[in-house]
This record gives sequence, C-alpha cells and structure tokens, in this order.
Amino acid sequence: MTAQPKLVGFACRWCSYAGADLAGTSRLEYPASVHLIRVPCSGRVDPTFVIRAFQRGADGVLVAGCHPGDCHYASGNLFARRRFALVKRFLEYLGLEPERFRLEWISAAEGRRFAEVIREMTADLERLGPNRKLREDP
Amino acid sequence: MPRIGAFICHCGLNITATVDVERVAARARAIPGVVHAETYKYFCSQPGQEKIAEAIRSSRLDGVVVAACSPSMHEATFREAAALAGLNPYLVQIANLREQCSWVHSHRETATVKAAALVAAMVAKVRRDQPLEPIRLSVYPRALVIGGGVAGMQAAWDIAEAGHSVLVVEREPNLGGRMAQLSETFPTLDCASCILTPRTAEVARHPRIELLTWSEVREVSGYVGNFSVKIARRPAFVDWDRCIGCMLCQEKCPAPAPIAFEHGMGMGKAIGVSFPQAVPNRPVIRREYCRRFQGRKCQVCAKVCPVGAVDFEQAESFREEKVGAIVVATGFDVMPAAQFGEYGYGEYPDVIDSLAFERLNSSSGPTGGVIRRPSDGKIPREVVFIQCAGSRDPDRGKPYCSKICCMYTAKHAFLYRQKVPDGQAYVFYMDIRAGGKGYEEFVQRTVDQAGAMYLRGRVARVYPEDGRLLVEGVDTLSGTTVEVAADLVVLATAVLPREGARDLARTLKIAVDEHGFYSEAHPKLRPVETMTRGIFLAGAAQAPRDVAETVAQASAAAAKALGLLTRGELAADPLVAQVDEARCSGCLVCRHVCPYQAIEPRDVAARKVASVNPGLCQGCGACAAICRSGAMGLHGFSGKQVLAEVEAICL
Amino acid sequence: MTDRQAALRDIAAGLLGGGQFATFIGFRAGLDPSRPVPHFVRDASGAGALVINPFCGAGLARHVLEALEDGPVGILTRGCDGLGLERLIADGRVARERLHIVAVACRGAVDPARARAILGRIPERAEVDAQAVTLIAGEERRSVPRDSCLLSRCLNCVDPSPRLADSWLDEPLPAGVRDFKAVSHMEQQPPEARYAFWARQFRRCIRCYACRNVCPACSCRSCSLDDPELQERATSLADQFGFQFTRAYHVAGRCVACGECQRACPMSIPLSLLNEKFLKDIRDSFGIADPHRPSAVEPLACYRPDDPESWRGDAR
Repeated sequence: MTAQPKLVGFACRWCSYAGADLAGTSRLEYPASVHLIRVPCSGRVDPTFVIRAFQRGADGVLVAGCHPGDCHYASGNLFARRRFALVKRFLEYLGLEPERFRLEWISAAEGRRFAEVIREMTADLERLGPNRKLREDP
Repeated sequence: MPRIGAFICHCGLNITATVDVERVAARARAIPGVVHAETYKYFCSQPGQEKIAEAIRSSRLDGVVVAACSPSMHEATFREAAALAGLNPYLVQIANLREQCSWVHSHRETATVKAAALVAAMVAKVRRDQPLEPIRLSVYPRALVIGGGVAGMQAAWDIAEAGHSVLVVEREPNLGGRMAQLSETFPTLDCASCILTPRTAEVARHPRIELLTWSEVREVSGYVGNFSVKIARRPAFVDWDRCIGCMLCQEKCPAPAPIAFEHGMGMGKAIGVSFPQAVPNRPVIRREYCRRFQGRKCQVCAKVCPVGAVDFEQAESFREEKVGAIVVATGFDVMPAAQFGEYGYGEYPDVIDSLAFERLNSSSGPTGGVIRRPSDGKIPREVVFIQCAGSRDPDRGKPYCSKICCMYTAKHAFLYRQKVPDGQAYVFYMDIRAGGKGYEEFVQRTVDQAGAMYLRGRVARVYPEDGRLLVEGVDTLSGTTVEVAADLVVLATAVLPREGARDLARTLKIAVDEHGFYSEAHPKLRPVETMTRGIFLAGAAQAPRDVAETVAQASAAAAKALGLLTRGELAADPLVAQVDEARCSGCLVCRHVCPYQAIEPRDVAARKVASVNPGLCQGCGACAAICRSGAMGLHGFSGKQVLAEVEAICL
Repeated sequence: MTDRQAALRDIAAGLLGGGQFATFIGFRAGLDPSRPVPHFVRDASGAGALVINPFCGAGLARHVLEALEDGPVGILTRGCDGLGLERLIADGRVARERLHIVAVACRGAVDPARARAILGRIPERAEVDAQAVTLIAGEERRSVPRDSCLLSRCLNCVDPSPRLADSWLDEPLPAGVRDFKAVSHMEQQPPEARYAFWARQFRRCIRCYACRNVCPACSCRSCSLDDPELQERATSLADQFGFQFTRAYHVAGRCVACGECQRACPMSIPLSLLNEKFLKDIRDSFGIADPHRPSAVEPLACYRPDDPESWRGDAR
C-alpha cells in the first residue's frame, strides 16, 4: 500500500479530544493518518503550530474545538474561529490547497463526526498527494 | 541529558491486538534521552504501577511517558504512582494508544507506526515539562446562596448546620420561592406551606445564616475560596429594623396591586408582604402601584405605622461580601401566556396555567382554596388540563420535557375531584412520565379514584362558546377527534429558567445551555458543580425538577460547598498561564482574551507587565496563543512543548 | 515647502528650549541630497538641522521608543508615522502624554533609487503633487508620473495626515479608502502560481530582521523570532515560510499599512502584499472598515458571536 498522508490534529481536551476518545470507545474505524495533539482549548492553538506542521512535512492540519457557544472556557473557540478564518485564507494565498487545513467543531458526543472528518480529510489528502508546499521548491 | 522512561501498555489485548507494542518500545528506546522502555499487560494495575515506580527509582527517571488508554482515564492514576515513587507528578505524560489508535485502526503496520509517533510526541513533550506544585489557595469559610426558595434554603441549612456561615440572597422580599406558591405537593399531598413554613423559620432563625432579601447579586470577582460579591438591596421604602411586622400598613393601604406571588389570580396591596407566613415578615412598597409614588397625596401607610418605619426616601444600597463558595439556586419560571395563541391563553380569562391553578387551590390563596374560575367565580364542573404546553415542542424552541408537569397535573386533577366531587377532569397528554417513588401509583389513583379522563393527544385549539370553552383535540389512541366543553382550561406550561438567569450566569462566569439553564460540569459525575470552581448548582435553575429532587440536589451542592469550606486551604491545578516578565512588553493584549479577568498589569522596574492570578486562571491558554513575544506561557501546554510534539509527529 | 521647514524648526526649538522635551525626531540632510536621514535633535540650537522635503522616506514612529528613554519627545509626523504612533500607544509602549506630535500632510516620498535611475544622476530636489513628481538636478527639471518614482508604500497611501496632532505645519489632507488592488490581483492568480511566487520571494530573504526592526507593530521587548526554539534560524525554504508567516501573522490586525517593512527590506520582498492580505480579510470577514487604523481592541483579540465561518464551502 502507499504511504498514508500525515495529518496533524490539534484537539481541545474538553470536546474534540473527548470526541475522538468516544470514536475509540465506539470502535469507529478511521484512517491512521491523524495524530492528535491535546490542547486545553482551540483558543490555545497558535497559528505558528500549524505552519510548523506544514514546514516539517504534514500533509494536512486540523484544528478542532467545541462548537461555538459550548466552549469550556466560554470564548476560546470564538477567538480561534476569527484567527483561523484568517489563517486559512492566508495559507491559501500562499498557494496551499484549501483542503489541507481545516477548522472543525466536534463535541465530546460526536465520535462519529470525528471519524467522518478524519475520513473525509484523509481522502482529500490522498487525492492531493503528499504536500510539498511551504517547504519545498515548486 | 534527560532520563525518560516509556511504558507501553498492552491493555490486555486492547492495544496489542492492533499495535505491536514491542516494536513501539524498541522505537521509543531509540529516541535520545529515553533510558528505559518496557511493556506490560496492565500498567494501571497495582503491579503495573509498581513497575513504573521501580523504574523511576532504579533508572533515576526524570520524565515518564505512559502509552496506554486516554489520559482522561488514567492520567491521574499514573501521576499519583509517579509521585509515590518520588517523581514530580507533572513530569508524566500519556500517549493515547487505545482510544485514538488501537481501537480505531485495524491495519497493524500503520497503527504501530502511528503509535510510535504518538509516543515520540509525548517524549518530546515530557522533556519540556517542568516540575510543578499544586497552587495553594486559602478558603474564606463562608458560603453565598443565591435564591431563597426550597433549594437555596436547604443548601443554606445544610451548610449552616455543618458549622459554617451562610449568606442567602433572595430577589423577592421574602423566602419561599416557587414552593411557597404551591397548595399541595405530589405524590403525598402534603400541604406545601405546612412543610415549607417550619423550614423557612428554621433558616431565618439560624445563628449562622444571614438573610438578604429584596436583594440581588450584581458583581462577582475573585475565585474559588475567595469570591468578592457586590450585593444590591432594592429600596423597600420601609425601615425593616424599625418595622414590627404588624402589617397595619397593608391592611389600610388603599392601592391594590397585582403581586407576582398570586400569579394573576389575586391582588395584593401596594405595600405589604406576598403572603401571610412570609419570612422575613416585613413589607415592601411596590412603587409602580403606590399612590404616593404616582404623585398623589396618599401617605396612609406612613400615618398608620405605629413605629414610623415607612421611608419614602429610601434608596438602593450596596454591600460587598466575601465568600469562599457560591450555591446558585435561582429556580424557574413558566412559559408566558403570549406563546399560546391557539389555547386562547391570555385572551380568555378561564384559560390559566398550572401555577395559577395552585393559587386557586391554595387555602391561603385568593379564593380561600375554593376552586373558582377567574371569569365569573363559578365552580367549574369540567376542567381540561393540557400537558406539554410548550414542552417537548421544538417549534416553540423547547424540545425538552419539563418533567414536573405530569405529576402536578395528576395532583391537580386529583385535588379538583376532592373539592368538586361531581366535577370531571380531562387530561390531554403526550406520554405520562411518572418515574419516581410512588409517582406511577399516584397517577393511577388519579385515574381510578378521581376518575380523571386521560386523553392521549394534542389539543388543536380552544375557543369560547356559550360561556364555556370548547377544547378540540385528537385522541390518538382511538384515532378520533374529541371535543370537550370545559369551564376551565389549565395549561401545564413549560419550565424555563428564571428571568435574569443569563445575566447572573454572566456575572458568575458560568455557562448556560441553549435554553438558559445553568450547565453542570459533567452530566453524570459532576452534576452539581459548574465549570467554575467553587460555584455549585441546586434546583430547577439547572434543569426542570421537582421538590424532592431539588432538595436532594441542594444537599449535594451543600456537601460540595462544605468540601471546600471545611478545608482552610485548597490545592488548584498548576497547569495555568505564567508570564516571563523579562520578555513581556506590557501590551496586555492577553487581558482582552482572558475569560476570567485573571490578568492584571503590574509594575516591574518602572515598566508595566502582565501578571496572572493563578487562582483565577483556568488554564485555557487564550493568552498564550495571542502573546506574540512568547512571554506568556502555559504550564503543560507551552508553545515549545506543542512545537516539539509537532516536530516529533512529523519526523 | 520652506515655510513648513521653518515652522518645524521653530516648533522643535520651542519644545527643546522649554525644557520639558528631551528629543525632537525629524530628518536632517544626508550626504546624498536625495537621502535625508532620521535625526534626533537634543537641544534647541540643533533645530536648524531639521529638513522636510519629498525625499524624507523613512518611517519615524519606531524611533520614539529609543528617544523616550531620555524624556518626552517631539516628533515630525506624517500620516504613516501617526498610525505607527497610534499602534505604539495602543500597545502600551508609548504614553501619548509624553509625545508632542507635529503633524504634516504628506503627498508621498520619492524613492531615491528610482529617481536616480530616471534622471541618470542624483536628484537634488523634488516636488510632489497629486498628479506628478518633478525631479530637479541643477538646471534639469523632469516631471514624471507618481507611480514611476514614489516609494511603493506611498502609492497606496490613504492616510496623508496623522489623526493625532499637537501642532500642524499645514492643513490636513483628507483620508481615503484602501482598495487592496494588489492583493485582489494576487488572489486571482492560480494557486500554483501564487506558491511559486512566494517561494521565489521568500528564498531571497537574508533574515536581516529589518522588516521587524522598523515595524511600529513589532515593538515587543523580546521577539519570538529571536527564540531559536520558536523560530529556527535555518534558512531552508521551510523555515523561510515559517519566518515569513510568523512575522506577517504577528502583525495581522495590527499592521498600520505604513509599508515601512517593505521599504526597509534590502531584498525587496513585497511584504506589504502579505500584511495587506490580512487587512483585506479582516475588513471583509469581520466588517471592520479600516483595520489598519488602530482601535481600542485589535480584531484578533475580540470576536462576535456570529462571526462568519467563511471556510465552509471553501474546502469542498
């Protein structure tokens, strides 16, 4: 088989990381492309973390947090939404394909959704092939 | 060079079935700084923990990675085990090989490669961990209870009985809340005031309970153990210290006033108490109904008062109080009339809600407990009760069950039949939900003994005809349209959070759900706690519930509050933000994003820097993410740690 | 022109002579008449060295940080300098009451290199108006279009006059509206072309940090770009992307669009094209009309509950 894409995910511990755990306890199979990094809140995610992942070879990056209105810390995901709405457009401006970076809201109850997002994103990344942008000459 | 140990758990077959743990251990061993790696069947077991402890001692480890189940399962377990072996517990990280690897992947090779990467990421992270000590916070040994209904009173009583002082703040002039408005309680049919009045008196008398009624919490600052609360007392226009509670003022007052307590069924006076057993037994002037405040000459109350307690000049007053814990027990409202056009509620006087029926049925109510319909005072011969008026109705935005309506409607039907032996009660319902001790039996009694006719279906409309109300509905069991001519229609309207609950949530910085009920920290395991440490929930403010559940929850909230108050000091998680003052430029952009007002400017060597109050900080990291210089850090999730994780994963 | 210069010298002398102000920041003539240099005047007698002419190109705002260490500062301030000062004030780096802002309306500064190329020799004087630039050397006067020889940052300028002022050398000119034409043009290129463009640009970066050092929005006491654990010093293309992204992101919502970074870049990397992308998206996504003009709370330190999720539909 061909090598799997490498997908780095930043997941807030209260919602999305717990949602991923729920996918696990529910035994929902999804591709092993994703590697989650546990953060307290999507509002903790500094865009430099995202760019670093691309610099070092990630084929895609996911930032996942609680649904707006459900943030454990009330507002962290709302700051994240603003920040990554800009960052996403900026990465595309630099030439990155839109599918390579996603911001998603996944609650602790949405194990199924977590698995779906990973499946979808992995399929997109497989279709695009390995990412060379932001790290190698065109 | 760090000395890190990696412990790869089989979790029986849970991990090994998909992941080659020996290969993961071998890969871990190859990481610079990893001096020990082993696998074991169950590291969470006693012998497993012993193995970790042994390795910490013999290999002089200064960092531990346990690759096992989700950190939400056993992070605490392994941190404690490490601490027992002499390693700072914050030098332990968990790689999630079960929930996020072996259970969700089936291809052994890719799962093993991913598992190794997850371990490498945690090794990279733990290398950058610092030993941390829990933050010690002092606890001010006094509780604040917001709300003086049955929930608030129970919580206050339990805390006071355990030896701590309590401040109760109630928005209304008197204690009692919703329960004081009720006639009887289901399923035992105890008279509500007979059980509530003694409790109210006990609370009022208690040497460790202080009451502040006709008052509201306006501002809350501080944190667990050290809250500072600003309370506003509305002007009563009566000096309560002078007042002797004779209520001559109320008796003589010429201005009728609709008082909330009677829920539209009866009138009170512009000055007075809501009900005769009110505690404290002190009157207030409702200025919107008082003739003097409307610019007329009347001063009857002031003239008749034997002690000169009436004070038309009284103004709102404020006080600051310090408390260590807060119980929020602000109760519920019911859905307002305007929402029910099809039932003619608000249009036809004989369509009332259940709370109004309670007042009609109450012996201390406006009709002296004789059930008379509002329009003409006639005793209704046929009464239709409509359940789920607004509840379980996504169209009206309330998909939830209000939980108490099935039972109180059965109670109403039962009591009605007792008072009107030749009367007939009809109940339109969707389902009967009678879970609870003696509840189902009570509903059966209502059917069997009180002859209530239960019709499963929704009511389409209610309209007047010949002085009666025609109720058109569908009986879904027989599939037929039913039409009942009724003298009185009673709606079991949906339970809503109290008006102002959202504002209070903002003041307290606690979360509410989509319907405005306060959110508990965990629906199963932390049902009376909020996400803000030191603030607890009791009663229907959190979700619709009946008296028995409310009291039980209030005692649970009291127990949680006592858990804080009985300790003079408490330990807080040290995974909070901290400022590198040498690097901080003092731009304080961090203050804007902090949801807890935990960041204040501080002067250091003639310049301003940000300073984090670790008692207030909850460790969300919004400040760390927005700080451009890297001066704001977050223990356990520092920028350098996350970047190191990224690098390890991408390697 | 000379009226303004005389007035400037008078005000500077007055401020420094009054004893309250320790420094006045302006320009003095350079060895090359087309390259005046930023200048700190320390006492009233030195005010005569101050010049003001269309070759005054450098941004002055950042210099107040150094000057304020000696006491309150007077500063010659064009629109771009004014926004820079606003940024420094909003960032808590400068106290407004310690500044005396001498405002001047600016019609654009001449790029000395381009002017020299046009004229074939170093211009001695220049005149700039709304239509054209006249370059003068000896007897020669040459009128050329503005976009042929102004600094690129001046071509897109919509803030000829500062919003903050304590004294005025002339009448303020009205502010305009940014059009982000260059960003829109870049957005319309195919992704592969955009990537090739940026990779080519970033490859050239020599990591001199001039872009940061002149930026009024980059005034942190300690910069994360200097911390090797946060930003590697390596100049692989990957690290160049990391560096450029981080620099641009750190001024997102904070950039005052003064263009000083691009002017200072010795490799002529079009840094404004990065900064302006963020500004444009902030305007379009969050409804902030002029995001380059500092506000009480910067756009990324606040939110609206109904901020658009513009990426929905983008990806698929």
